[in-house]
Amino acid sequence: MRVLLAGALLAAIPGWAAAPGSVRGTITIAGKKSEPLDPSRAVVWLEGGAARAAAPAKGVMTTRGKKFAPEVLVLPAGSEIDFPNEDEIQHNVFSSSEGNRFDVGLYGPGPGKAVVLKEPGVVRVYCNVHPQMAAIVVVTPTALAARVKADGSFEIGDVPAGTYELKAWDERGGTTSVPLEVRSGEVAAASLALDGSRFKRRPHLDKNGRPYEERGAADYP
Amino acid sequence: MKLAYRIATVTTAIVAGVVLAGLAAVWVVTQRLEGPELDAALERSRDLAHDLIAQRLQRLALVDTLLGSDPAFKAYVAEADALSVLDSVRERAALYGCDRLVVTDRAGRLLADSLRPGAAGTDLSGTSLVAQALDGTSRGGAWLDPEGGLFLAAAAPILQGGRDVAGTIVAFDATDDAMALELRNLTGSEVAFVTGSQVAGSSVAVGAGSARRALGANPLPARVPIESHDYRAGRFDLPALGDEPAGALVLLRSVDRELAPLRRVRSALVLTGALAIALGIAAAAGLAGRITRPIADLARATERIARGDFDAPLPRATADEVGRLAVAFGAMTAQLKEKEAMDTYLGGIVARSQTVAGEPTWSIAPEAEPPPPDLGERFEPRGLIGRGATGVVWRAYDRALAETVALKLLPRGSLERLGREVKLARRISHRNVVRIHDLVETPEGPAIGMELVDGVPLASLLGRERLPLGAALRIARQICDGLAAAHAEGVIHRDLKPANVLVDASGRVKIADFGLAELTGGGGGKLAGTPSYMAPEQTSGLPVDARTDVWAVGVILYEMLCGRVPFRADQAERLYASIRSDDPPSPRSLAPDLPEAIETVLLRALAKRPGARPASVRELDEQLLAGAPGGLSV
Repeated sequence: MRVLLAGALLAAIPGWAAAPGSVRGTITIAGKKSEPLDPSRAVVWLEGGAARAAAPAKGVMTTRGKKFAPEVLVLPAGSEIDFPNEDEIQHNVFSSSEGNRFDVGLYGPGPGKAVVLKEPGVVRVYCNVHPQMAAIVVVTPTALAARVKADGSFEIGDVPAGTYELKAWDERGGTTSVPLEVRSGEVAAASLALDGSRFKRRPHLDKNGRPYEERGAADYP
Repeated sequence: MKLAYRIATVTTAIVAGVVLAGLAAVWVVTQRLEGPELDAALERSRDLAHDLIAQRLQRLALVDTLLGSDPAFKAYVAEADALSVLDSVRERAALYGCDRLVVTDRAGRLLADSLRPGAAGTDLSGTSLVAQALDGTSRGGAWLDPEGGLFLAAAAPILQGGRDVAGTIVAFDATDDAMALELRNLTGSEVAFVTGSQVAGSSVAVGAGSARRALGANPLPARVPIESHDYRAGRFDLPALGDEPAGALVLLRSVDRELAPLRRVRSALVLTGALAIALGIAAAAGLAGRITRPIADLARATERIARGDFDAPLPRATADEVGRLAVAFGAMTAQLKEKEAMDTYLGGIVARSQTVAGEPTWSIAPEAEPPPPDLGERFEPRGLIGRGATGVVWRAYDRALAETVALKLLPRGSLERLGREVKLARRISHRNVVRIHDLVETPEGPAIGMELVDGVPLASLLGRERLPLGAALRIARQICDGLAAAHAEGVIHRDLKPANVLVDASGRVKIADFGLAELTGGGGGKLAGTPSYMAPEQTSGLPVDARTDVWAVGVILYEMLCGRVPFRADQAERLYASIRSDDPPSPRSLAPDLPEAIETVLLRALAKRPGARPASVRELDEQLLAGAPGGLSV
C-alpha cells in the first residue's frame, strides 16, 4: 500500500498556543482496473498522541423500506445504538462481529431494543429476515473520527496538538494509516490511497452462521 | 435398329422392374416404421417429463419445508402478521425461483399470496389445495386455480412444536410457456399443458385457431397440425393435487422432423433408383447399339448383295459370332461372285460359239463318228464323246444301272497295268470328281464305266484368252475340292491337266481320269503326252504325293489367269529342265490386273520343292479364298 503524506502548514493562528488544530485530507480507493471507487462509505480516525478516551455517544440506525439508514455509522466505543423499525413488517437486527455480538430479536414497528457497542472495531449489522439488509458501524477508540464525504474529502476538527496515527478503513480497501502531527491552531493535511482491487463481495450468513437460502433446513427431516 | 430397340427395351424393362420392386419394398417397410418410431419417441419423452415434474414437485415441497421451519416465519404466522408473511413469501419466492407462495393460518384463511397481495382473509379451508395440509399431510400435484392458471403445487403444514398445525404453505410453479420450453429442451418433444380445452402453456406458438382447439381436444386427434407441421401427439394426465384431474401434459413429435432422416434415406434411394434406371436405359441403348451395329451392317451388306452389288463392304471380322457370320458370309459372297463371273464367262462363250460355230462348244465332235462298237450285252452305244490319250469315250446306255454313262474303252491288256489306285478311285464320291461306276470287260476290251458329264474339258476353254479372275478361281477351287476328296481316299491324281478337268454348262467342275496315270506314263515311268503340267519331282522320277497335285493345280490356274502355261519348250527334255530350274514368268507381268495376293499364292503352289508349296489342296484352297478380292481370312 502506497502512502502519501504531505505535511504542510496551511494556516496558523498566532498567539493562542492552546488552541486545537484540525485534520483535512482526501481518500482515494482504486478498483480492479484502477478505477476510482465511491469513497463515501470510508471512515477515518486518529489514534495515539493526545487523543482522549472516547466519551460514549448515542447512535441511531433505522430500518426503513427493508434497508438500514444510515448504512455506515461511526461511534466511539461504549456508545449505545438504537434500531427503530419504521417498516410495517418485522425485522431481526443482529451482528456476529467479534466483541460486539448482539441479536435484538424479531420485532415489529417501534423503537426496538438498544445495544451498547463496547469494543473498537468494525461491526457488521444484518437483518435475519432480509439478506439484502446490511450496514456497518465503525466503533473507534477515540472520538476523533469522521465519515468521508462523497468527493473523498474528510475533516476531523477540534484536534489537540500532538502526534497521531491517522487511520482509514473501507470495506473494500481495508485499513491503512499514516503518522500525522497536528499543531495547535493549524490544519494538518493528509492524503490516503486505499487499494480496493482485491475486494470480493461474499454473501453474508444468517445469525446461525448458515446461508440465508438454507434457513430452516436444519429442521428438514 | 429394330433389334437394338428390342434389346434396349427388354433390358431397360428388367432393370426398371428390379429397381422399382426394390424401391417399393423400401417404401413399404419405411412407411410401416413411421408410426412405431414416433410412438416410441413420445413414450421416452413422457417418462422424462414425468421425472422432471416429479423433481419440480419435490423442489416445491422443499421450499415449503425450508420456509415452514424458519422460526421467524413461523412466528409471523403464529402472530398472523400478514404483512411480514407477505414480505417473507415474496422474498422467498424470489430467492427460490418459484412462481407463487401461498400461506394460510391454522383455520385455512389466506394470510398471504405472493401473486395476489390483496386477497388476505379468503377462506381456503374448504379447497383441496390446503385441506390435507391443514390435516397435517404434505401433498403435491397439478392445481387449477379458480382465479385462472394451471400450476404445479406442493402444499405442506406449518408445524409448531411437534404436530400442532399453525398454518399451511403452498409453493407453486406455473405450467407456463417457460416450463413447457424447459420440458422441451429436456425431452426433445414439443410440450403443451392443457386444462379442459384451454392451453395453459406450450413450447410452440399455437395461436388461437385450430391448433389450440386440437390440443385441447380429448381424446387428441392422431395428427395435430400446428403452423404447417404435422405432429403426432400424446396426452398424459398430470398427477392432481386435489381429487379431480387438473390438467394434462401433451407431448408432440413433429412428423416431418422426426421422420426426416427416414425420408431423406428414402428420397436418396428413390433418386439412386431413378439414376440406376436412367443409367440402365443409357447402358442398354449403348450396348444394344454396339451389339447390333455389326449385325445391322451385315444386314445392309446382305441386302445390297442380294440386289447383286457384290462389292458391298462387310463388317470387320471380330472373334464373336457376328464376326464369324461376317467371315462365312464373305466367303459365300466370294463364291457367289466367282459363280457370277463364271456364268458371265460361260454365257459369253455360248454366245460367241453360237454365232461363230453354230453349235455349242461343249458338244464336241472332233471327227467323223466311227461306227458304234459292240459293247456287249450290258452296254448299248449312244454316240462318241471323245478320244483321249488313254482311250475312246462312248456315251452308252448301261442296262444294269438303267442309265446313260460314259464308257471309256481302254487298250486291251491294260487292265492289269491299272493299279490299286483305280480300284481306290471307285470309292471317291464327290461333286467335283467324275464318278467311276465299274471296271468292265467288253467285246472291245476293258472299259471304265463312268458318270456321264454334260460338259467340256477345261482344255477347250483355254488358249483363246485369259479367263476372268472369278471364273478361274471358281474352277481352281472346285479342282481343289475334288482333289481333297481323292486325297482323303489316298488317291493322288498325278496326271491333272485341263484335258482331265470337265466343266459343265452350269460352271461345275469335275475331275476325270483318277488312277489312269499309269496308262499315260504320268506315274513316273515312260513319259507321254504334253508334260507341261508335270511337277519337278515327276520330271526327275522322284516319289509323288498330294503336293504333286498342288503343283498341277498351280499350273492350271497360271494358265487360266495368264493365258499360257508357266513353262514352255520345244523339246520334252528342255521342258523338264525348265520345270526343274526356271522361275516361271511373273504372273502379273502377263496379267497386270491380277491381285498381288493371288500371284503370291500361285507362285507358292509352283515352288520347286514340294515342302515350300501349300501342304495340301485344302490349304491352297484356303489361300486362294483369302487372296480373292473381297475375300476374308478365316
